[in-house]
Parts: sequence; C-alpha cells; structure tokens
Amino acid sequence: MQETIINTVHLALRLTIPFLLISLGGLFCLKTGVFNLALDGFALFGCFTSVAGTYYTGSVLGGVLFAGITTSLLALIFAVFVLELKVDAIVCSLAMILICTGITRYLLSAVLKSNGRFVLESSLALKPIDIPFLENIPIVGQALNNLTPLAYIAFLLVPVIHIILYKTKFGFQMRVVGLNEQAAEATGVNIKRVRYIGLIIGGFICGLAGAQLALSINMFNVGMSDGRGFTAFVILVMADSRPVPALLASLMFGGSEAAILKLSGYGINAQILAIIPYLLAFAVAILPLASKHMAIQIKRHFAARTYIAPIEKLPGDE
Amino acid sequence: MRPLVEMKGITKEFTSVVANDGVDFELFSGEVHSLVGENGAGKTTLMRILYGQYEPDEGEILIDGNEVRYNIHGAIKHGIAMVHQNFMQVEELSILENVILANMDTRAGFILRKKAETRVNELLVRFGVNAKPETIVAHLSVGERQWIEIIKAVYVGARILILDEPTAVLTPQETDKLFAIIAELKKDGTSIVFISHKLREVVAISDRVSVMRKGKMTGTFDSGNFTETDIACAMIGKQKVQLIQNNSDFSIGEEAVCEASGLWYFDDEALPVVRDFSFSIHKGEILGIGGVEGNGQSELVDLLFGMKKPSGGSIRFMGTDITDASISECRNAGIGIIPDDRIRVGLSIPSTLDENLICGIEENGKFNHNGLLRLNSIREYANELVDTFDIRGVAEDHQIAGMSGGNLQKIILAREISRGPKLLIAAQPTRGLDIGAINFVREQLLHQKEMGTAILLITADLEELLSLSDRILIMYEGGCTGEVSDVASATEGSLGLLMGGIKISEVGQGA
Repeated sequence: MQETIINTVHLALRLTIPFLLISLGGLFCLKTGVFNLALDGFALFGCFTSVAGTYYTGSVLGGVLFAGITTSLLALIFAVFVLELKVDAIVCSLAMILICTGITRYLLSAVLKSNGRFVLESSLALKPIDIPFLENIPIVGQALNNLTPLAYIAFLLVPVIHIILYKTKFGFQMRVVGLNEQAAEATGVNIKRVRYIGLIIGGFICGLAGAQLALSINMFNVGMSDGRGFTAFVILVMADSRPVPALLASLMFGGSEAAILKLSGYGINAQILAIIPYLLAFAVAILPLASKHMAIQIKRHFAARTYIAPIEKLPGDE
Repeated sequence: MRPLVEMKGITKEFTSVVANDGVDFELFSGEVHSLVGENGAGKTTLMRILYGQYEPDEGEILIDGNEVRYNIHGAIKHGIAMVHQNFMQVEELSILENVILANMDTRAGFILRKKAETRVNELLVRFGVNAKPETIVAHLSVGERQWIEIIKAVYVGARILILDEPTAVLTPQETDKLFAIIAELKKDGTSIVFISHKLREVVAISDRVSVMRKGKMTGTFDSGNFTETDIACAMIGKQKVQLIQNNSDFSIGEEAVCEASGLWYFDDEALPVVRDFSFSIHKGEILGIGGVEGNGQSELVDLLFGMKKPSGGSIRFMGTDITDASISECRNAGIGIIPDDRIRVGLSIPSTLDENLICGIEENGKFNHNGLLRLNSIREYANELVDTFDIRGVAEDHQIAGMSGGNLQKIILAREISRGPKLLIAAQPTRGLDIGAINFVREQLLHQKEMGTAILLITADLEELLSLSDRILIMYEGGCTGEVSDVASATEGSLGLLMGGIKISEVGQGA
C-alpha cells in the first residue's frame, strides 16, 4: 500500500515538472503584460534543440544548455516582433506555434536525418538522481527522490522567482509594467528593457522544460509538447501569474494525470478520465467568474436591506 | 538672474498636428509659473517634453544654463517631476510601492523597504493624508490620490514640479489645501509649473503666467501686471468671445417629463454609488446635475436610459414606468443621450459617419428594405445632417477617425436631436471642446429647450452649470446634498460647499 502511494506521488511529481517549468517561463512574459500564447511552441522547440544539442555535443548538460539558449533566441525573435514591430502578441504567438511545429519537423529530417522521431543512446538520457538523505524521510522524501536535476531546479525556481518578484527592484518593475504600463513609463521605468529581459528569461525556462520532456526519455517525437504549453497558460491564468499558486496548480494537473495512469492500470477507462484536467481547467476558468457574479448579487441584496429598507420604513425621516 | 530652465524654440509635431510651434518657456528657481490655454493649445505637450516623455522635433532645453537631452529617467535625475492629469498610479499597489517606483534604494538589487517606509510615513503625516504606507491606492479618494502624486514628487527630491490641471478633480476646499501645499513647496525653493484653464486659480497663485494658443506662446505676464481679462484675451486670441448663456425666457412646462424617486445603485463591491436620489424634470427645463466627478453622476445616467438596472427606486417617463425598461425601449420612448465618453460610448470610431448617424434607427423603412440597407438614402440623410449641424472636416469616404472632438460631438448631437427626444441627457457635453464648439453645443441645447425638450445636464464645470441650468442639484457620494432653484443668485463658492458634501441646511439658505 505504502509502496503504491509513494509510486503514485512520485509519478505525479514527474508529470508536474513540465507544466511547472513551462508556466514559470510563461510567468516572466505574462507578468510584464506580454500575452505570450506561444508557450507550447517554445517548449516543443526546446524539446528538439535539447535532443539535437545532446546529439552533437555528446553531453546531456550541453543539450540542456543548448535548449535554453536556442529557445531564448526564439523568444528574442518573438520580442522583436511584438516590442519593436508592434505585431499583435496573439497573432505573433499563433505564428510562432505554427512555425515551431513546422521547423522541428523539418529540421528533424534535414539535420538529424530522421522522420517522426529521433532516439538518442540511452546513456544520453537525463537520468534521475538518487539523493540518500531524501530516501531516509518516509513517503514524502521517498516520493521526492529520484527525480531529474531539472525537476529539482524547477522546484527551487519557485521560491527564487517569488523573491525576485516581491523583493527585488527588477521584479517590482516587472509587476508594475504588467499592471500599468503608462504609470511605469511616467516614472521612468524602461518598459522595453523589462519586457525583453522577461521574455528572454521566459524563453530560457521554456527551453529547460523542453529538455526535461525530451531528454528524460532520450528521444524527440514530432509534436511531443502535446498541448502542455496551453495547459501551462491555463495554470498561469488560475495562478494570476504568481509562482507559488502556479506550483500548486501544476501539482493539480500533474496529479490528475498521474491518477489517470494509475487508475487505468486497475482497468478503469482512461479515455474518460483524460477529460478530468480539461474539466478542471474549464471549472477553474468559469467558476471564479460565476461565483463572483453570484457573490455580487448576494452582496447587493444585503446592501439593499441595510441601506434602503430602513428608509422605506420611515418615510421622510433621515 | 539666470533661469533654472530655458526651453528655446520647441517644436513638436504629431501626425498632421503641430502641437508646439517654436515655443519659448522659462522657469526661475522658486517661482510658480502658470501655463494657461484652451484644450489642445499644447500646454501638456510642452510639459511632457520638459519631463522627457516626448522628444522635441526642434529646439533645445537648458537646465542651469547647460544644454541637456534626456528621457523621463534623466528628467527625474535632473529633479523634474510631473503630476499627470490622469494619475500615473498603479491602483493595485500600495502607497509605498507607488511612491518608491521612481526612486528606490536597493542593495544588490533588493529593495530596502524599511527605510522607505519611514520616509513615506513622514510625508503622509506632513501632507495630512490619513493613510498608511501599505494602504492600496485603489482604496483612496481622488483628492487623496492627488496628494500621493505630490508626495511622489517630493520623495524623489524634485526641484521642478509640473502640475497638469491638478484642480480638475478637486473640490474648491481641496483646491485651497493644494494651494497651501504649493506655497509651502515654493518656500522650500521648488519651482512649480501650474497648468490650468481656470483663470481665477491662476491669478491667485502665480508669480508669472504664460499663455499658449494653438501651439504657440502668445504672451507672458508678470505678477501684478495682469487681470483675468488680459489672460482670457490672450487665450482666445484677442477677440472677446462670450460663452452663450441661458436667459430663461422660455416657459418651463408644468408637466413632468421624467420622475425618478429614491434611486439606488450598488456597484460590484455592493457600495451605494447612487443613494436615494430623486428628481423630476419638466418640459422645457434644463436641470443641472453638478458635483465633483465620480460621485455617482455617470451611474445615474446609466440608470436613466437602461444601461444599468437600479437596485432600488423607480423611474417614470411620460407617465409610464421605465424602471426595468431596456436601452432600446428607453430610447424609443424618447430619451436621447449624449454620453460623457464620446470616443468609446458615443460613437463607433472605426465606422463611417453614415453608420454612426443611423445607428439605432436602422430598422426604419427609410433606411432599410427587407433587411438590406438603402445606402443612397442613408448617404442623403447623412449629408442633410452634416449641413444642419455644421459638421466639418468630413472625409470623402465618410470615415470619422480623424475628426476633431468638436465635430465628433456634433455627430452625436445630430443623431440624438434628429430623433426628436422628449428628454435629452447631456453628460459633460462640452468637455474638451474649443470655445466655438462649446457655443455650438450650448446653442443646440438651448434650442432644444425652446422646443420643449427636457434637458438633464450633467457637468463638472461650475461655469457651465451656472450658465445653462434652470435648476441645479448637486451630487455628493451618490446622494443629493442640495437643490438650488434660484440659479441667478448662486455662487461658485456656495456650490463648492455642496460639492464637498456640506448640506444646504448647514450652509444656510444663502445659496
């Protein structure tokens, strides 16, 4: 029983990492007010360049860094289009997603001379690391152990980004640019600079997400980001682009995917269960609005009772 | 004495409009220098250039005698601060965060919060703002937010403070407080540029006054050498143009056109934005609703033509209950509306003149045949209205995007008046217009009054309120603080007290 719990939690954490990394990358774009919907494209691009980088450098670390840097460059191109040429961010995002799908498919055959997929030697996989002291903590520690280095980096990034956003000058400027561009400009904040830096950091982290996805199974598959970038976007909307809530939302999506995998092992129909994350996303998007609307109606009703009713009882009396 | 700031031959052109045309401006240390002129005269543009927000196309700026070029960041370093007309504040953040935004002490990139908090607290106490540094700006009143803007400037150590129409959102009493603060800053050696078009205020506080007109500097007056009339003449270009007044010769009918009783409206926070507001308006009457903006006027307008549903109370129009009527029901019953935001609510800017003019009456058989628009008769109708309402600058293709505010307002007037309304709601109808256009709008409103239309005039401009209204109600925090039936003997001062929430019984019936 304990074994099953540990396994399930471990699986949930593994499935959480790509969501978490992509949403932390996207956070740097959304927080500065750039509506970057192309996260899925960025992650897919990172998947490809990490595999290509590992193949050519013969080193996993080389592949991971290559993915980060190339995806940063891709984000830089996006930034130039949106910030300099004033292309609408949504239009530009859609173009980016299409380009990423096409270019990874093309480079796969042109550079890696392969179609559909490219498999690296298993020695070039991003391997889980064994941390002995975690193994000694029952359940929690055991579930946390044996994740990839990128997974631990992802978890560490959550407090780091929180501190950057709320304690440092740059984070403060990022928040202000996202909240009120004009106010930021009028007080002398260099909006473009903040957004360039935000997008480039965001691209780097999305690249890491791609590396985690591809290198942990040491292969590249066409379209392997599989819409995770869009889920990450939903996570950011739910979390209002804040790092700690983004971690919690990512855990929810990772957890529900893990539940599907585990339960289908017991013969429960996984196809139906696969709807769960999407229902959750839908609920998360709709429920706050619906409940806010209801709360307003209820508050109005009570306000009418406190303000209007006493006056109507005593006409002409203030 | 050498001026602290010299701006020489400043020229700034925006697409097809020359906002500043070879303007010279000087500012001495420790003086209050007012910059006056009509809307669109180029005052704000000139000051945004001084603040580094715009780069001049031509001309140079000298500070302490040295020629300088800078952006906003550089301007702050030179000790220049600007309080914009629409506050540049991040509403979601605290006072502290807003104040330190332009200038924060950091160590290794980390903000030193404690130190800043102490200083901001001192400044809040000094300027008499009853709030803590961590109070969220959205929770402050408009007046308080004005003090926060000034605290921002003092915090960065500004020696040149530009105030762009700071009194537009203040009550006369708050304005007095602002003037006291200005005097105090001046004593500390701060130079102040005061942009306004309220001549009385300008005369009261300025050491010097510069007047701008159509992008040019038309004159600078030294203290003691000018009167309101001198400045007014320079502002409008020497000829005396009188604003049209309501001379109340036309009889006001007995019959109530619209009656609202005990109207309430709660906003999304369930706060009463309109509270227990009642009025009745008669045939041929102009009922003025005054008050500082944001005291429920725009919500009241929305309630009257069905845009919002009242949380309590009822509205009767021509004897029928329209409390729950839809917008089109209200309009078809004979309510016309000139919204306060002509760009976003009044018109559809990307649409053509023709489309804007028939909007709402497109079902009419004259314009529509079995669902197809009769484009020729629509164009004819539009051309007719263009002539009647003297709409100028109509493009060949009837696009309205490039038209001036005055002509856009004429399109709205044309549409609303041609429907023959029984009640015309005019919200801030002359805001941002030049004197010619203001007079045109006023003429049309008075003409409608003569025809027997009831006019509900909502305006934040006291002069307009007093010049046009037959009767005045003042709104304060959603309620009515007083009714003034004898408009002729009312003064701006007495209305000012009502606008500040002091009820008429407390002032005495002298109003």
